[in-house]
Amino acid sequence: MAMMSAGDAKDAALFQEMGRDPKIVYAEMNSIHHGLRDAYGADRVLGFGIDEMGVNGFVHGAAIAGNPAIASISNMVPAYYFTFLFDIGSSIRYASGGAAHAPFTLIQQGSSRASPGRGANHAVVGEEAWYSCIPGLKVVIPSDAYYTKGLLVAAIRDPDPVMLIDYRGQPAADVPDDPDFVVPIGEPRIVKTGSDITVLAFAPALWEVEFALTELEAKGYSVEVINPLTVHPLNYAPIVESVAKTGKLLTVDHGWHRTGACTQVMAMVAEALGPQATYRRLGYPDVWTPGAREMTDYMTPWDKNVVEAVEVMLS
Amino acid sequence: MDGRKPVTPEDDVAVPEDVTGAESRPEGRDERRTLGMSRRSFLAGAVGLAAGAVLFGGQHGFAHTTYRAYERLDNLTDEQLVEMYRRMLTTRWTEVALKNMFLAGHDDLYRPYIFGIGQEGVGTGVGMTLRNDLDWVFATHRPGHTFLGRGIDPKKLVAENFFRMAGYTHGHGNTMHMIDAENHTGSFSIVGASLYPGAGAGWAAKVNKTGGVGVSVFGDGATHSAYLASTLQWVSTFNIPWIGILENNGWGSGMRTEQVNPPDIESLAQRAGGYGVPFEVVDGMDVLKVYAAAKRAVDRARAGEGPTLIECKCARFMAHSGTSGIEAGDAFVAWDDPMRSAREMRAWAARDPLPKHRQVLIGLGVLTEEQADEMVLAAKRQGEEAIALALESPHTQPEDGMRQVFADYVAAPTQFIRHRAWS
Repeated sequence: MAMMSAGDAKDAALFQEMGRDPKIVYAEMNSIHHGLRDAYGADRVLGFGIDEMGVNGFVHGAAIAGNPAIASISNMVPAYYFTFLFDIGSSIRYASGGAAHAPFTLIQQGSSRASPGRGANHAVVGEEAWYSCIPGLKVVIPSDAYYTKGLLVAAIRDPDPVMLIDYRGQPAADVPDDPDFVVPIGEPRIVKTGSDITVLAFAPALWEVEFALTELEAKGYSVEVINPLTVHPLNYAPIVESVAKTGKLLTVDHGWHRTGACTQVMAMVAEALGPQATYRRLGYPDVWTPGAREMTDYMTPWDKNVVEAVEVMLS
Repeated sequence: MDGRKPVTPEDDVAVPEDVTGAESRPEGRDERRTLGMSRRSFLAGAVGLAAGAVLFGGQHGFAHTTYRAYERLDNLTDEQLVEMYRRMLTTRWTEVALKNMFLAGHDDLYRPYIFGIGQEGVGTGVGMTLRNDLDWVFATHRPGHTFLGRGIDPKKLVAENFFRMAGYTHGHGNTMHMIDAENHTGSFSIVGASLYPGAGAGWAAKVNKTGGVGVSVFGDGATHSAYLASTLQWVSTFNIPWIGILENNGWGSGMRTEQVNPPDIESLAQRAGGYGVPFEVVDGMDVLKVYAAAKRAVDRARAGEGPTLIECKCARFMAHSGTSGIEAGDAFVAWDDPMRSAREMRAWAARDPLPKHRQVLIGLGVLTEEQADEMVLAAKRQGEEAIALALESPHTQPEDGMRQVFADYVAAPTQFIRHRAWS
């Protein structure tokens, strides 16, 4: 085990996997990963300019031709990635009847709404909801360095396209040394067991839930916290079991409340349990991220919002 | 190799317009004499006519392309020359067989096929320069001449039209979504979608050090695409072994190419020069000229000298998709094309790559007329056989569509009330 930052965990996964398989190629936009290039050569490690479509397209192409490919992409202009993902990358296995597939991983360097002043196009959160609507694309969100390494290795080894959303602010964590350490895509993680209520969140909202836990436990609440880690394809059964036990589900999303990634989870649980439980969602309101700090502070579902929500639901 | 002065088809005349009659001439009909001359001297005369046009027209680039194309004959074996004809015949007569099925009607033909008749010279000229076991080619929504120009057996392509298990996609896609993994050939339905995959395949070949190339086939309707600008930028910057085959058939679906491009540009390919990508413009109705240009490009790419864009001026003999304006039987030209006049169709039919190449083979003494006729009959039989086999192939199972989203994954049947998607 070694304590490392999420950035180091990402690099550890990249160096390890590109060393394991000489066919794996890597590309970034607006920079070159010099460490990888020094290790694996300029042919395998490309640095594109500010051409999101290009880096995405080339990684698609290399993967379809048989070289698993990885790209680090930006959270901005998601439509530039979405286009080819939607048209080709996510559908090629299906439309070809399995004759071809596209083993690539896109690592989206996410922003969060936590740093004010970025404004609408730069402070985008919640794109996982968009991406997860498409059949044929896996979407995962690590929540600390341990999951960054585990999910990234799983994604690189996955024969199908994976979007890994790497939100800014991931905590450091102990990461196993085993090169075959993977976190399987699709299994939700019970962060903490409890009996009064199930609170479910992906990163970065998860971090607010974890902050809220301190105050909630001091007030005597027994909160079960679930981090699904995978947006799609997700095994919902443990989540249904949890809510069947607690009778209450609160989801917290830093994406938009309307059609955010938690919406699908809640719909699944509600279908399973119906009136056996009560259900509420917290999410970013139906507006773009503003620039001014007062406005972003007001809009974000912070830990204090989570505390209030739990208290209301359990009153 | 620098960008060559582009050629317009009107200058590159090998057959005067009044040589052929008003109707298409199906292969196999006896036509030994043309304008009262034997084919051998006709061929020489045609080249002479072209040279004459050069002298009067003063376009040196054109003569260079013509003569270099026919110079290539020295580097081609008789077998290769015959194989070119065979592949074009297979393409032509497989598609005619499909055309006739569509006209006759069949319950399983519920999606029109997008015919490549007329563009066989491009598909075969390019296909003959490539290794099927190594080089990826990504085709357009008009895939037939690209697939069959690589010598691929037509059975799976034909069965795909009927959505049968013997088709490439086993009912999961259609003829615009076929991937032939063994022969490294694929098609996409989205305009310009072949560009990144071809470039990425070139990148992969470079990384794998196989000497392979990646080829993107796209139409004039894709030249406005941001995908092309981006692809040219990066194949040039990264020196990728990529060949772009721009099939300029004068039409982007319902719009003429001139309507959607800047006036007074000499070619569509010239924009490649802006990215430092060498380009050529060739007569796509002449398989030998396409071959010559493609061979130059492939040799360059394999030698690590980078990408090339080749604009092939050609025409499709049928409507954008489907069978509008064409008769049943051996007809392969849509005289009643909804967008083009019969006169325009006649002018292009006069430049049909198949009789042109047949003339070369016979003029060179590689084939006799009888042998050529036999090849035509064999191609017709092959097309009809492919149809028969397709009709015998089983249909798909309805539940099959729940698979192939991911490896080892079956989608939940959420269309039924009795499912449980959360377990």
